[in-house]
Amino acid sequence: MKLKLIAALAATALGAASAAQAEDVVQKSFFPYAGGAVPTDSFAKPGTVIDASNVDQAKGVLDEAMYNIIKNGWYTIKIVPTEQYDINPNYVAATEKNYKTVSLGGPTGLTNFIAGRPFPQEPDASDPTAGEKLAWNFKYGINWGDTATITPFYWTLRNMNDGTVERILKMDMHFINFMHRTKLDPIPDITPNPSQMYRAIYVRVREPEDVANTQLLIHRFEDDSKRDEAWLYLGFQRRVRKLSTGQITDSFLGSDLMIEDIEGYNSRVRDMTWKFLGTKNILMPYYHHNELQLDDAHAQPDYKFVAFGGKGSCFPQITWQLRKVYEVEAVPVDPNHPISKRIFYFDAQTMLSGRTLIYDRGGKLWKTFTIGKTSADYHLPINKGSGIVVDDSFSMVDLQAMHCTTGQFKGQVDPSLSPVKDFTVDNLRSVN
Amino acid sequence: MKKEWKKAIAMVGVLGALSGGLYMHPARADDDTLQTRNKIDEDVQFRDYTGLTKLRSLAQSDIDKDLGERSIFSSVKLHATLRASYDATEELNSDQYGAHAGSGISFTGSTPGSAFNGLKYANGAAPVNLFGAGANPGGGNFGVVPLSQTYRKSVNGIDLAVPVRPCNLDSRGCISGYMDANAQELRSPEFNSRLDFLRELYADFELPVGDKTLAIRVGRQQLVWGRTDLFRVLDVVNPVDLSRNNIYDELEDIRIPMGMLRADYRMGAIGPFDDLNIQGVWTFEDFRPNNLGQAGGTNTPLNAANVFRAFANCWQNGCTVNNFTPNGLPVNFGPHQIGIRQAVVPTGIAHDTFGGKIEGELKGVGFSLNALQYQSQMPSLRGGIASVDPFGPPAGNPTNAAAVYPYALAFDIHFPRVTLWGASLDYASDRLATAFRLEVAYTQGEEFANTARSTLYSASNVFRYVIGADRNTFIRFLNPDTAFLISGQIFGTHLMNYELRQGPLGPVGMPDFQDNWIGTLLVKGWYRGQTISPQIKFAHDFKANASVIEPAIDYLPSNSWKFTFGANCKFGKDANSFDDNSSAAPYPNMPGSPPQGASAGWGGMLPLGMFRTGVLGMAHNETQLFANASYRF
Repeated sequence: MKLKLIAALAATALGAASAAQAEDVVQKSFFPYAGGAVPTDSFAKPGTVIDASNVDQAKGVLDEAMYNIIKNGWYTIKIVPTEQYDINPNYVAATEKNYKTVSLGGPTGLTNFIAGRPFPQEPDASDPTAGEKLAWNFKYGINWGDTATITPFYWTLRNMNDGTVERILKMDMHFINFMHRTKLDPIPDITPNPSQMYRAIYVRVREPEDVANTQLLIHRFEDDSKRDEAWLYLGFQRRVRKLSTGQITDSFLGSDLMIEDIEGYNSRVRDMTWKFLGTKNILMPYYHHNELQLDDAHAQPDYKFVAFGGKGSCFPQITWQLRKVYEVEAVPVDPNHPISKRIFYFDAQTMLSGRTLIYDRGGKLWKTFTIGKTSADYHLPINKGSGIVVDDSFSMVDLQAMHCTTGQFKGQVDPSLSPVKDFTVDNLRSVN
Repeated sequence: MKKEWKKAIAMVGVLGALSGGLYMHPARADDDTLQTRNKIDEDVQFRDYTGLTKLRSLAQSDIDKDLGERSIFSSVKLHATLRASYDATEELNSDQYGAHAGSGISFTGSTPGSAFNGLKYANGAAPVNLFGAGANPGGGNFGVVPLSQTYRKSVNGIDLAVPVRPCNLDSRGCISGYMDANAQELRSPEFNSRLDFLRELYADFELPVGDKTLAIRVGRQQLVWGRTDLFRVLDVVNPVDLSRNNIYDELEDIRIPMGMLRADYRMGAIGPFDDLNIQGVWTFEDFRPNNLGQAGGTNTPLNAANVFRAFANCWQNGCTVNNFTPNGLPVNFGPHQIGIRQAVVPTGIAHDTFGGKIEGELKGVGFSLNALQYQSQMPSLRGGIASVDPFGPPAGNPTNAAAVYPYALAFDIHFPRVTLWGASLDYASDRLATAFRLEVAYTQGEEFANTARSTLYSASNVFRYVIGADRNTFIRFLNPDTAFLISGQIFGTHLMNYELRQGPLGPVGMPDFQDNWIGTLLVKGWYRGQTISPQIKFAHDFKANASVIEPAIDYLPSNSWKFTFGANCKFGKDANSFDDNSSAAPYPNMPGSPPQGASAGWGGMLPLGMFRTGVLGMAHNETQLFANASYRF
């Protein structure tokens, strides 16, 4: 009896220690700057402006492409204090609850995944699967939460040499998670969902007129072995066309982005070979939207968009924070893929990809992709308290063609703007 | 400067001023609920044989109003598309296509120097070899061209004269309610009795039904079925206007919107389906056939409009038919002896279109099952109508009153009732990086010319199918950064009740091929952020052995402007022959032939060889250059 009591007490103690350990893992993952433990650099301090004259002093906190961009005199960046964001507590709790049973493998690519961040543990450079685990963290990241809408969403195509605006696309972009939901009912899954679709993206182009009403619908599945399904509705044909995989890696509406680039990376985990290259502290595009000098173009009564400047007006006029990131290399499995690799800089706290470098088939740096993030508390009132970090601007610069596409967002975490029925193929046909 | 040029320039100027006015005072009023999109479009086409074939100014506005939640409806929206155009071709090239088109003509038979021999067929008319004289009391020998000339080539077979001027200037051969456009309607086709300037006008209502949605659209609209381009298999709910640019314009621009009530019950994901929807449609606007152009017009697919007008004129006024006798001589016919009497264009609810489809997604395959009952949008020439015997009063008919003579070349145009059953699929192959599309349709009730039948037509069930494949493929030496879209399609047609036999002089029966295929191929590339897009379209009719290739390039210098330049070039075999029924013996008194006999199979390219030449081959001599500029705002 005594022995049993001791064993029970020991088990309880171990359990408590284990729970504390679990909590610690999750807390460290989601709140890496707790207690003011923010990264520091002797030069790149808040308030510093980095330009061509002093960029060499900041080389250690810049990715290769950004260093060269600033060195060329194309862009200057202002540093603001590193910020720890409030992450939706349900997502954090789901991580805590589930992560210990999650493992790589199985028919869908992950086993026992329910919700939250699948692998909150600090990546280990000696773990050959560390890169893939981070890719899963990105796939099931907090991202926009369970649903969100960017409306309007302006894409501007520019000649980087002279800043000529070639084309402006105006569109709406809608996102919804069908599975692993943590905030909005129904939790965790929307049913019925016969194909076990994890996420859907719906895009409707409003302008210019020659592509008005073009719509794109992407279904991504829980089963990572299943190829995304994508449909394109061309307004001038009034017909829905199923897209072949080749169209996912082709220019989207003439921009510098492929469909695969949307949100940083928009395809299956298994389409790339992932390699964790290390943990770094570098400057990342994080800011307070409402405190920026915003653009008067496209201004709405309640909202202005992020301004762009620098060489060819290809670069967002935002602030940057020194943040902990995971550097990950992704090499396409398909030898015919139009790129040879991507280098992602995943933000350790949010697991969002703020910076991505894209290399051409010959291994030369081709494009540099920046997705600017704002604190939800410094954006539209509807986004306050949403527990996400809001994607708010992007810049995809083709360094070889000296061309860029810039994006200006009005992201809204408003479920009423993205009802489930909008993510069906028939919805594309209903436009006209 | 010619008066016509001045007039045309003035009209283009008016349209330009209108568009400029719109631009200066934008109609666009984008807010959350009202959106307006406008387009001004200039189109020019030029053919080697006839010169200018299009100089069209077009203005179009698309207006959408979102009324939001109303009453029991979760969403109410209104849409209107207004379109107006003016084509100055008829004025600027009036010698070919307008008030001065055609002339007096004479037929000399196929044997040079042969004498006219029309007496035995002329039913008392003066034996002259000039079209219209004597046997053509309604008019004279003017404003006509030989049917063979509408094809721009000397061909074998019979030949007739075709009046080619607008119907307000020359009513000969105009078919009331079908092919009777006046000059104004040819210049501005939207301003007609069907109010086509109201191109689309409909209201959308969404009614929540539990967690499903019932979506209702009522009004004039386009309803697009199927998954293919260029040729239609399931996309047959709306008729099409082929007078605009034959088969070469986007279907969106040439579908003729119809007043419809369409209801979609959208179930979303249900059971094993990722998406499932049921649609019902009722077209309540009176039937409209496909617009096949008008004789003398710039676009007359299959040359049908020219043949019809020539035959209608024969019926109305009498006519001379060249090469009608076995020794290739012209023959005069009197009124009501041969030709087209009328077009019976159906009206009323019994002739409305009804149908529906089930469409959805199942395990990565998009599918639809379709059913439709409608009036054929293509005409059927039904013989077996009462006509006058050209050989004088037959026994038992001393007054030579009109009577039904088997195999007589006397027709009414009908648009028969057709029932369609169809299905479609699409599927993206990961391994092949290719998206496949499939459509099939089985129709009952379609009618075809058939010289083996005493009424010169018969019905046949038809099985049509198409398989298409789309693949984005890098052609790196042309563009290392952006893939080319390569899209191919094979259309097949099989006539289930085919009839063809060998007559003494050639085949007799249905001129269409029992099985035929048309292949299409599109290769399209993009440069400079899709602001420059070259493309090549190619189509080949396998049995007719006729082809067309259309290289073109789009240039978008800004968000508003788009320029297109290209050429539409036809090549391959340009004429196939078939029995023209001239060797039939419909009349009891007809000398030298067994009475009441079917054709022996003697024929040529005109008229029924046209079916074997096909829509590509019949435009063989319409190779053209084109340019288009559009401004959208």
